Parts: sequence; structure tokens; C-alpha cells
Amino acid sequence: VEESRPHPALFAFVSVLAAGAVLALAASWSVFPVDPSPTLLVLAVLAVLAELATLTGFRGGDVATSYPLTVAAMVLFGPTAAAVVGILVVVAAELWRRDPARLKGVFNTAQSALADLAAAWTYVLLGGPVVAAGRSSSGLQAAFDHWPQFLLPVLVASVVAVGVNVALVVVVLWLSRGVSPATSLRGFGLGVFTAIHLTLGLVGVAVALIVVTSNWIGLLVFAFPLVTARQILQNSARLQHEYANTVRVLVRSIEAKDEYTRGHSERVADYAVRFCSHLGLSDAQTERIQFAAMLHDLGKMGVRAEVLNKPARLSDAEYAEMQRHPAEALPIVAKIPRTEDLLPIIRHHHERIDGCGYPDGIEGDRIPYASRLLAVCDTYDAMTSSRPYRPALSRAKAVDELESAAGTQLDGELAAAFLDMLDDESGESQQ
Amino acid sequence: MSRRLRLLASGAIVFASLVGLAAMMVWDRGSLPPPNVALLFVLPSVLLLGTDWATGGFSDNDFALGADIVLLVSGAGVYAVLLVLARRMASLLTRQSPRAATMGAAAYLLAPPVAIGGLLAAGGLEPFTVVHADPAVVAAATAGLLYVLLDAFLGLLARSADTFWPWALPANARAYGLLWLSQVSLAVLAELTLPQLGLLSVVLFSLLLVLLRVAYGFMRRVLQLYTATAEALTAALEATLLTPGMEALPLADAAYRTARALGFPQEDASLVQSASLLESIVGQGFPSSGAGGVLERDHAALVDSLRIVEAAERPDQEMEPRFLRLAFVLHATNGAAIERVQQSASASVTVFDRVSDSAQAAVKSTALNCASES
Repeated sequence: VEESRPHPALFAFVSVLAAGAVLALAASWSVFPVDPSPTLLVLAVLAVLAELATLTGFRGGDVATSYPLTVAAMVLFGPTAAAVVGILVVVAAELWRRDPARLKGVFNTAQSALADLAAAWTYVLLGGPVVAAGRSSSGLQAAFDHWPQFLLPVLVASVVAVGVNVALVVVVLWLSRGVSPATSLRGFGLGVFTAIHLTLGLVGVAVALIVVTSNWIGLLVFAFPLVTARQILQNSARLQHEYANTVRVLVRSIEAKDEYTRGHSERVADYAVRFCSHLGLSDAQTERIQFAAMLHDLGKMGVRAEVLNKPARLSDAEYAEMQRHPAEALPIVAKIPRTEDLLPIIRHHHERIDGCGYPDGIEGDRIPYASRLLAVCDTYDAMTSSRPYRPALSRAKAVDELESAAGTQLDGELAAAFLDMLDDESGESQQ
Repeated sequence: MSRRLRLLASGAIVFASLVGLAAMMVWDRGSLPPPNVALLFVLPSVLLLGTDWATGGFSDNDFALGADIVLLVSGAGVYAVLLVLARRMASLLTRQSPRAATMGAAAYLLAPPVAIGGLLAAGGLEPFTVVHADPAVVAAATAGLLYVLLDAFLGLLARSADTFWPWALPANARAYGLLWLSQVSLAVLAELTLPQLGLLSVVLFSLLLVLLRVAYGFMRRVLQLYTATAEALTAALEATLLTPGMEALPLADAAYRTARALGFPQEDASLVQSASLLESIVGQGFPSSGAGGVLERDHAALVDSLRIVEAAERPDQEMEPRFLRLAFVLHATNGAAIERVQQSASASVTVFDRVSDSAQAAVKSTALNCASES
């Protein structure tokens, strides 16, 4: 949420949201009042600690490690307690991070309260037991004997929590930054986000179970393996980030011999990620195409610098040398484990849809989809950056060229989609 | 070790588990063990199939420790010890070094009786009974901690048979300690919940076990990818940009293996490898603008790697002991600047002050061996 000069519509939205959260909380309290207990206090403290140790940068996003404790509060003490724990978590996190953006803080708190209340009331309405409220006559154990009655409400509640959270963030991004809802939704990685929440929801059930059977001592014991797993996953996420950076740096080093294409692979990878997001491809597909884009010109190492940097038209022999680069990258990339699927993408990124490309001259759908996608990004970046034999084209000129290449050099549908993406991004940046 | 041999070894582990389960049924006065105890015996073996090579150094034994402790505390007594031993001895098939296998066997033979001693001291239990009582919880914790401490001590002795490098211990102890203490927590948790939840408790136990296994496996996968990619790309760099015959890769490989042989965790060893490669590139004066021109200084891994290089080049400046140690390994591997590092480091207060001559000789010797194998 932009803080400096909030848009009136944004300010109004956050205000309405905050008022709605207060009203919803009051209404929930009248049915499920919060009865402070040591167990609830321990849950709240652990939730705050878990939030401060949020798993960051895992599969491109953050994992709210406090969510299982909110779910446990929901199962044990009801919707209002879950919302109160959620609010405490957000407030503590805002204070800890010393974020000066107050409007953002208000939004986050209201969003958390509304999402938790919506999820918890879904849970209750679907027949989920609330242990401390006596909704389950024989306690949690009895509920587990009829697990569908218990687990299904938790899973649905987790989906509702994701839905409310995402919907509110989409609106606020639209109001504050002009990001279209479609773009925001594509950037969320909804599949992974939902899967993580479903898993954490089940962990929340386990937390409730431990609290019922073993009280808070059991909870502390239970937390240790979870903290270990979190620590290991955080290290892995950090390593993965460093891995991506290392690849980028090494590719940049390799490109250094060609002064005109320096940074080209990085830019193509950046276009590819945005394009994949625009096309709604999965995170896994995006990751593979991004990696292929980073490595697609590796074979240019085998091309002499004088050919790469020649300021005039290439001779036939020189052009033949240049045409070998997609295939020359393959032995290098093949040494990296689990890159078998990248090899055809890299090999065919210079094929043309009309069959006049290289190295194999295949056409149409025989060219891998990812290669066709990569070719669009590659061509656009090549046109908009300077080359030894010509200066960079203007954006408008490059768009014209892309349109004219659609259906002959490039896949027509993908070229059109790429132009749509540029239009969308242009519109958003103007807003 | 070939994949086939590993599969065979894993099969042997599962087979030993099943034989153990059958033995439980036959030997314990004709009575069947409770399903939860039986499941706890078999589940870890099945869930952890392939752990040895999927998690990089952490074996199924490390992951099954919690289940072993529960079995001990659950009162399976001598039978449980024998059965645990059967599974663990089978897993020794995956160990390459006969010396490590022998020391490992000694650890497995000695640790359970000591753990049982702790268990008895804390309040022994009847065979195949799981009682929700404080003594069971205390016993689980006591037995678990004794088990861990003794296993760690014997593991250290096993390693010291080849090399003894005291400052390498904390890094390894952290990695193993986290996993092992998690296993103790799992055992205590099982003792807390088994009586009330029965099979559900076993399910919970298994879920946490799988979560840990997945987390460690994920880290292993990223590390492998990192190392392989850096190697492939640097080989490409070496082929086109570096001086022919510079042998950057074998040196980096030797640095990695030296660090591993000295007991550094994989993460630190990869860092040394990366530093070695970078040093080769930077040492070639590539690119002309110097390291800062191309290498991103805000990139954590490279900054760490460059710190190692810097520590080796300018050991007078204040450095974290970890980087100094890694720099020491790097330069011992390269066979250069070791004296310089030592002399300058000893001028300030660093970890090298506390390193004995024999330990330094051990590093040099390990580095030489690894370098000659490259």
C-alpha cells in the first residue's frame, strides 16, 4: 500500500475494511467470546514467534508459519480466538519490522481479522467441533473417530482463508499500484499458496490434538521438529536464491566476451518469466523456461569474438559458425543434473515457425512450445538492444517488426500474447 | 556406490525390519506387540528408504533414531535392542569405509545398552507396554539424550581415526544436533501421545518424520544442483576464457573433497569449492575491470566465497573464524600461502592460535591426498 499520498479510493477501501473487521469481530464475540486461558496465551505467543520466523523466499513466496497456530486456536477456542491470535500476530510483526506505513499496517490487520473470521466461521458452519466451547461433547478424540467431519471443515476453511486474503490483496494492489486483478492473480502462484495453506491447516489440527492430549508441554516438544524443518527449508530457500544468482553471474561472465549481447540472457529470462506469468503457466514451467532462457546462448562461447562483434553482414561461413551455437550449448548444459527437458528448448530456440530456422529446420508445432515462447522473448530483446551492425530499434518499431514476424518467423499466437503483455505492462506503469 | 547396491542395502534394511517384527511376535512370550509399537518399528524403515543418498550424509539411522528410542522406552527391552541392531547393522552395508563401519558397529553396540541404563535409572518399563506416565516421558528424553551423546562421541572417534580437526566439529555438530534433537523430541512426543491416540500418534510421528526427510532431501537437491551448475558453467568459462592448463576445476574439486574429508558440512565445502573457482577466475585478471565489475558483491554466496579469498589474501583483517578456517582449507588445497595465513592469523587472535601443529599437518596431508586424487 503506497503510503506517501494514498489515493482517496484506497484510503476509503482500507477504512471500510477496518470498520468491517471491527464489526465482524464484535459480532463473532457475541457468539464465541474469548475466555483468556494459559493455553490460548501460549498459542498466541508461539504464533507471534512463528510469524517472526516466517519462511521467506520459499518457492518464490513466503510461508506464514504462524497459520497452524491460528488454526489450532480456531479448533480449540473458536472463530473469535482465531481472529484475535491473527491480529496479535500482525500487530507484533508490524511493530517488530518497524514499518512506517500505517495504512499498510491497518490494511494487514483488517485483512488478517477478516480472513481468519471468514475461515473460522466456515469451519463452524460446516460442523467442525470447537473443543473449549463444548461443541464437541466427547472432545477432539471423538471427532477424530469421525475424521471427515473434522478434517473437511479445516481444509475448506483453509481454502476460504486463502480466497479472502488473495481477494483483498488483489483489490488493494489494483487501487494502490494499478495492477490489474488478472496480473495480480497470475503472480500469486495460487496452486502452491493453497497447497501450503492446506498442509499448514492439517499441521494446525495436529497442534490442537497435541494441546488436548499433552497440554502446552507437548506443544513445545512438537514444535522442535517443525522448527528444525523450517530451518532446513529456509537454508534451502537461501541456497536456491544464491544458486540463481550464481548462474546469473557465471552467464554474465561468459557473455562478457560479446560486448553487444552483454546482459542479453538475463533480460530474455526476465521477459520469459513475465511472459509465462502472463500466459498463466505453472511455477514449475516458468522456472524451467527461465533457466533455459538464462542458458540459451551459452553455445556462443564457441563462436569467435570477431564473428560475434562483426559490424557488417556475416559471410556464409561466419553465419554457419553462428548457427552452431544452439547445439554447442547442449554438452555444457547436459552436465547439469535434471536438465534433460531444457536441452530441446535450447536447441530449437532459433527454429522458425515456417521451417526456415536452424539448426534442424523443423516447423510449426514440431518446435517445442517453450522454444517458440523463448524465440519471441529472444527476438524482442535482440531488436531492442544495440548490435554491431545496427543500433537498437525503438519500442514501437520493434512491436511492428514482431507483428510482421508473427506466423512466419514466430508463433503467431505467442507473438500476439507477448504484445498483449507489453500493452498491459505499459498501461499499468502509466497508472 | 552403485544405485543397485544401494537398493539392495535398502532392501536389506526393510527385510531386517520385517524379520525383527516377526521375532517380536515369536519371542515375546507368544504375544503380539501392540500395533503402534509394531508400526513404529517398520514405518521408519519404509519411509526412509533411500535416505542415505537423498539427504547427503544423513543416513536412515539418523532419521530413525526417534523410533528406536520409542522402542527402547516402550519396554521392548533386550528384544528391541536386538532388533534395532539388526536393522542398523543391515544399513552398514551402505557404508564405504571398513574402518567407519567397524566404529559405527561399535557405536550401535554400545549406545543402546547405555541408553537402556539411562532408561532403567529413570524408571524401566514392562515389555511392549506404552504407559502414559511421567517416567515414560523422562525415560524417553534421558535415553534419547544419552543415545545421542554416545553416538556423537563414538562418531567423533570414528572420524578421528582418519583425521582429527577439532574446529570442524561445531559445524557438523550443529547439523547433526538439530536432526538428532528433533528425533528425541519425536520420541518424547510419541510417549506423550501414544496412550491416548494410539495409531493416530504413529501417523503424527510418521508425518513429522516425512517432513524432516523432505526438508533435508530438498536441501540436498538444491546443493547438488548448485554444485553441478557451477562446475558446468565454470568449465565452459575455463575452456574459453582462462589460461589453458590452469586446472581450475580439479583444484576446486580437491578443495571440496578436502573440506568434506576434514568434516566440514556440505554447505561449507561447496563454499570452498565455489571460492576456489572464483579465485581461479579472478586470479586470471578476468574481466579487465576486476572482480567487482562482473561479480555481484551483494550476492551472498559470492560475497562469502570472496571473503574466503580475501581472508586468504589478507589474513590480517578481521574475519569470521568460519571464513578463516575455510580459507585455510582452500589454500592448503592450493598448496600455497598456508604459511602466510598461519603467520598473519597468529598475529591476531584467531582460531589458528588454538590449532596444534599436528592438526595443521593433518589438514595439509588431507589436502595433498585429495589434490593428488583429482
